[in-house]
Amino acid sequence: MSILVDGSASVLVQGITGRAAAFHLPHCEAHGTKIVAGIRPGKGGQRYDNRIPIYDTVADATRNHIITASLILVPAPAAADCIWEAIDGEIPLIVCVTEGIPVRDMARIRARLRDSHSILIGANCPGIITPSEVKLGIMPSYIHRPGSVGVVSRSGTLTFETVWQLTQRGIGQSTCVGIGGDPIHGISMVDVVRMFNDDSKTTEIVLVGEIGGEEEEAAAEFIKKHVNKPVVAYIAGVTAPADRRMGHAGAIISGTKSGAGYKIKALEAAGIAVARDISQIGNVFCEISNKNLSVKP
Amino acid sequence: MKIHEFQTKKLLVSHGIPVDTGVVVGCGDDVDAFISSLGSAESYIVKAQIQSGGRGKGHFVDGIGSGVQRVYSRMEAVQLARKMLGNRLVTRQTGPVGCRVNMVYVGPATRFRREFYLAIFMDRSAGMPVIMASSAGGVEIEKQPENILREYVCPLAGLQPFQARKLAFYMGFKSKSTQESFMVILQNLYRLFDENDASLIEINPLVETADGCLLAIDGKAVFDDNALFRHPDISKLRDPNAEDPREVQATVHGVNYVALTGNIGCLTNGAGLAMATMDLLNANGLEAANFLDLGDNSGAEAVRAALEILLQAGDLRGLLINAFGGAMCGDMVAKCVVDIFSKRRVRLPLIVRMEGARAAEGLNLLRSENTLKLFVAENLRDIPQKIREAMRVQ
Repeated sequence: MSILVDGSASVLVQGITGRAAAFHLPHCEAHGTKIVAGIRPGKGGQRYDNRIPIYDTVADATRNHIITASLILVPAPAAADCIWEAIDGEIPLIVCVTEGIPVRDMARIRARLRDSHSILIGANCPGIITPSEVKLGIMPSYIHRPGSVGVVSRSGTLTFETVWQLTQRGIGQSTCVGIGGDPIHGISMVDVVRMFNDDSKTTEIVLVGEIGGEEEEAAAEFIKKHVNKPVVAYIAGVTAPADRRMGHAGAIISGTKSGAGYKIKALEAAGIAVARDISQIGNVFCEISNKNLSVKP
Repeated sequence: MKIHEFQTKKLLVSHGIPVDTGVVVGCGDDVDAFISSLGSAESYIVKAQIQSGGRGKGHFVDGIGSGVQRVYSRMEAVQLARKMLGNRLVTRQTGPVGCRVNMVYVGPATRFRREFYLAIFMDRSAGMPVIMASSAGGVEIEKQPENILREYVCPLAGLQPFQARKLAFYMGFKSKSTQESFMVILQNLYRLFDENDASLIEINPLVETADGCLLAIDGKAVFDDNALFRHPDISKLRDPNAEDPREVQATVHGVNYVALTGNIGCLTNGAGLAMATMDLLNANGLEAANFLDLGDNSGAEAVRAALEILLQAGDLRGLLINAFGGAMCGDMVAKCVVDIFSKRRVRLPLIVRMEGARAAEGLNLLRSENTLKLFVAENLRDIPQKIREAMRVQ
């Protein structure tokens, strides 16, 4: 009951000896994630926590293990290089949490991804979680609950907020994907919506967007044409001033198209219920899904 | 990061792109001496150097006309430059308060036959740089999108000769030598864009003079903040006077801060949650004094700095903390709040909503501190209500 990753994933961690890894890996493992190897150039041959082998290069790791996913937890100046190395190692799923990668590097990575065997989630994202099976990221585990709602979001903390509102109402999630707040990133909102639509175990979709770019509009277009599952959306930044970057590198209104109002209109025109403020996501979801349940046989 | 027109022109020159020649004078400079150094010309252009579009359509607060003006003698140029310096220019981007002019560009007006538009920016949807060119430059280019040719550049391979040719033919130059110099300018401009991690470089207008030479008359450049670490020379171009000092201070600590006009200070982790919190307040008739995103990995030093910045705002009625930590721990935030509030004897009501990593520990710490006027919101929906209560008590 998931997309992109499930409990069977064998995971590589790039930057396994760093501060971010020290904080997050115990939580990932406690959530069921099977970490089989780590990378730290210069520390090849050592072990993380006296258990998990560390390698100098991704090539060394893939020679010794079957790796299905990589979690990148390194500082910004090194992150783009780590993504390249993971793509070169033909790792099917790459998750990069790091915030602050230069846009030029991400443009090159996106071009490189086209001819590759890899899917990239992020960067600048909380990662991906399939509750009670596997967690590749930095989200607090306790706010999740296994279930059938697919969540896709451009913002880390808004994903937490959304998921928590669902869980508090007893509604579980199939998979939650943070696609990242950078202007150029890996997997797109449309890609994730398509996967949720194709996933037999996902029954509803929650989409969390924000100002900047045109991904929500593209998702609205796709949903209108192809999706028959109920979708609830929320867009942050209704009151954001134009031409100011609101934290995320990608959150900036330029022209009329990337403003929240325009996105909300596009979503509503596609028949999607849009929560007016962040505190209403859970309520709007309940209304929509109940309505839907009542028409089901 | 934005830079000024005269700085952009210096970069253009250093990358082999010809620009018109003028001088830049600042508030403390001997304006007379600077402008005397210019050769004699039929007319002069005087341009306020602020980092905002629409200078030519803007106006100074005390009514000396727009930010870009033509005058017909050196004496007039000196007088106008003096009036502009220290004055405030209002444009469609600055808001009614305007932006203080600390530098003015003065140069001989260039006579030209035709005006062109040339720009490169990073197209986020396409995920690659795009060159935009038009043979109808100078005017408001965004109003005639049908005249713009867009040429996407593969970020791995860079600008190819055929693309430069295609753009050159599109511009419709009369002579072969002008066409060739355009292609050189284009290659150089792409190199400038790519090597320095620019997000936008714009020449508007690029003009063709009577003798077929191409000159950049105005230029604008924006650089990727995330890449400044590898461009010390570009970083030096930052003009701290062009930014809100609190925003500069925040940037130093890795905190994203944008000043707004309301009276509720907001401290939030995560850009999305910060924006959503601001929206939530506004939807309930309350106004945020700022947008502040701590980032999720911010340590105590950043939280302290953020609090100091927030408390600089004069007319706050309350301080809201809305934290949903993934990596950021609630008790760390709480400890910083207690420290700063007691150190600076802050009596402001504190409205707190905490969830995520070590949130319960954080709330307990705050509750045990009886000097705080604490209002705990149980969840997001409860925040506006708790703010109103706090404001009533105050």
